[in-house]
Amino acid sequence: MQESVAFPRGIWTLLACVPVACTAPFVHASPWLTARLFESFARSEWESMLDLREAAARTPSAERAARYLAHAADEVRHTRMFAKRAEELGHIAQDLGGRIPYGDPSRVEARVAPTGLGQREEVDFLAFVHHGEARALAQLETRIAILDAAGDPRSAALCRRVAEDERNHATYTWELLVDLAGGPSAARRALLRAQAGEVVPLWRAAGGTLTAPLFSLLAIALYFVAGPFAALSLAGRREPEALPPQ
Amino acid sequence: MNAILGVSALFHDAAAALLIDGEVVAAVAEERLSRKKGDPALPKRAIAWCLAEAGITGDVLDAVVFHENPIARASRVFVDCFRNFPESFRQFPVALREELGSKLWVLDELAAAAGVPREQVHAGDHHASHAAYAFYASAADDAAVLTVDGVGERLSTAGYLASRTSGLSTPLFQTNFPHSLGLFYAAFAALLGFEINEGEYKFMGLAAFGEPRFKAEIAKLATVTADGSVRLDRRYFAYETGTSVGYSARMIAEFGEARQPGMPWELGDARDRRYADLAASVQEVLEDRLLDLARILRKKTKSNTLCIAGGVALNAVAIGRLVRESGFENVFVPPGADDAGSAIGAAYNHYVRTQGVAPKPLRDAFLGPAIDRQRAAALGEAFGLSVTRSDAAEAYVARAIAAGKIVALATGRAEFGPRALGHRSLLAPPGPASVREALNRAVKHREPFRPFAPLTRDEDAAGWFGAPPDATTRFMTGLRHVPPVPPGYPEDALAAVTHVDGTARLQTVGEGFVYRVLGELAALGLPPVVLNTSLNGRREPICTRAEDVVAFFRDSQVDALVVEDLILTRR
Repeated sequence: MQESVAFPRGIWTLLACVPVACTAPFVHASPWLTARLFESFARSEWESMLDLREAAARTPSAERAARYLAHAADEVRHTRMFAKRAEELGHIAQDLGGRIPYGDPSRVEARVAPTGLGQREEVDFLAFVHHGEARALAQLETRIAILDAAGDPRSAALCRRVAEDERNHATYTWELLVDLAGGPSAARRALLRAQAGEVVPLWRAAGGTLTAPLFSLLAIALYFVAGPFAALSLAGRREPEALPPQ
Repeated sequence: MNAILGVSALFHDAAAALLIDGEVVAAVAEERLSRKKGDPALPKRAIAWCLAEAGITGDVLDAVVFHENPIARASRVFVDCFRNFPESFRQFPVALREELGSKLWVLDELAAAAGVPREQVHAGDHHASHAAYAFYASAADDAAVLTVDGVGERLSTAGYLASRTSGLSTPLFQTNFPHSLGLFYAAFAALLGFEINEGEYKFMGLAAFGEPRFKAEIAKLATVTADGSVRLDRRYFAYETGTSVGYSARMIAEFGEARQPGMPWELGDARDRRYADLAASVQEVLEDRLLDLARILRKKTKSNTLCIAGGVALNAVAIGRLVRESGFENVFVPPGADDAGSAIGAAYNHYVRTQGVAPKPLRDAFLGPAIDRQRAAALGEAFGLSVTRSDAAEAYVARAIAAGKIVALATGRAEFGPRALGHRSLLAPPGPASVREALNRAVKHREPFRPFAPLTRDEDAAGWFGAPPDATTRFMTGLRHVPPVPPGYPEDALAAVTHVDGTARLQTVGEGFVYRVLGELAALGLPPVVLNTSLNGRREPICTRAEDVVAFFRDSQVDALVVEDLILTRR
């Protein structure tokens, strides 16, 4: 494993490895569960591709646009790699192109005006991407060790290949970030903003995860409470299911 | 100046369109800008682009019109949930979340997105929006109008009479949910493992490989009564109670196990051949029912022109049969006849209602963002590609095609609708058949049964495709039987653009870049025909902006990219 990195590894990045290590016994308990996890990785990579494409279309610099587009192409490749491994492990990956979770608005969209990417917005975008790549690298490194120990060398090799790309992505985004922000200290401040900016979405995501089943239960309860009355009033209007014989 | 913004969203294929003084000046599907295929989200990017393209801001808009009535739709969804109590218990939480969570408030969100007061945002009617688009986009003075889709607020099918002087009639016949030809087709597409709202056109391509040996059984599931009502045998369909697939256990019991989504197709395999036979049977039943509706409508309206819209109007094979057998002299399908087009239809209807005159017909389908050649050049150089300017780019493209190469072309404004019509296209030789296989395998990465379309000049249509251009060849919305190749050319000169059933989805052009390429090909003694397919990779929307186009070229195995007068190649 390559050790030298040109970008800083903050405490938040390293802390992100803790849940990976804690949940490993569960998420790798069966090939099917590992496949589900890889499918979710494929989905994340696809979302990341969309973010990068969006940024490429908005940045005024053709050089940076080219870097984002090359990065986006890597994300497409990762999507295919994770989806393929999910299939090999016995879980048919869904058609990712058609089933992106549309309810989750583009993270770039939340940060910038729809018409352009000003310098401040692009610094924030780069910090956001860099933070994501550095965290993914740290998490993959943890996961590689777990998969090796679990006797799944093919999955470990896949994660190793992706981690190598993530290292390159983290490196180039850090270089661009330092350049565009005007120096390493300004880049670190942008990185802190990106890390802080994750708190609210994380809180919302956690809230959503907890409340979604509760909402479903309450909705079904409401349905069964209201259902008989509605069905009673509409019973006369219900038509036969079968067609008359021809 | 009168400016109306039409919007469709929140189901599939969201779009925005800007009508200024009765003429569509800008229209684009959200997916082309967000790069999410079939993106249903509120089209904020598309709205912003339409306004920027016209150089106006929201405060100049007279109205913003949504293509349907969200309250009427929500009411139908909840009433139907309770009508199917208690089987619909899985559907109810989803309906509650979707309708109350976002769809019901769409008019308020539109006001914010477009920057107009809420009072200026209006709700249209789903099928009236389809009908208005189908008719006013055409050049007809009067016409019969047929709208067929999955479901709108409540309607799934409607027939109208329309004229430029008196507008759109109330429906002459109509069918309400749950009876729906669109959902009938979608349910079988889902049974074969295709994704609903996305896989129907793959299903149509597959149908050509099968024999319709299940037609008699399937015909019993969908009928059309003498008054123009569609009726389904609801025991075979589950979309009234389920949340994802549209077929029931009874359908599986009668027509066999559902096909696993995503599995590669092996048409030599008996199991997949059976699925192809099923697709062929469903396709023929759909065509028969559309013919029934068209004939009833012709009888009621006595019109010579049929305009058709709604998702089912994208079925080019069925439109081909309507052209040949419905009795109408002209059959017109506008580009993007699905929900994307209803954004234009909603704006048309509001214009007629407020101005009292008919809007102008659609001049062409090139209503989207123009390609930025300078940005494309800069990106090409940043990627290390060779970028050269040429005064004879058309001749370069013709020579490349003559040499058997595949050329990506981005010129002018992007097409509105799902078909690439020569502005965001991949062009290749129309034969031999190996071109199709190479393109499917190396560039498009798609199912082997998917066909490619031919593109020729207006004046060559009769000689090469049996008849002069008609209303369906302009926007590639119909189908032609391909006659034998004219003498003096190789027999397989059109093999890459002829489907297995001997048909082709022909497009003809009378001007523009591709027209000149075709002229150059003719001058070289080659067929004045090219294979034309959309400029995109698998599972991606058609490339629209310079970034999409250059990135696609960089990552594909296409031989050259031409952007206006720029030629990009790999060093």
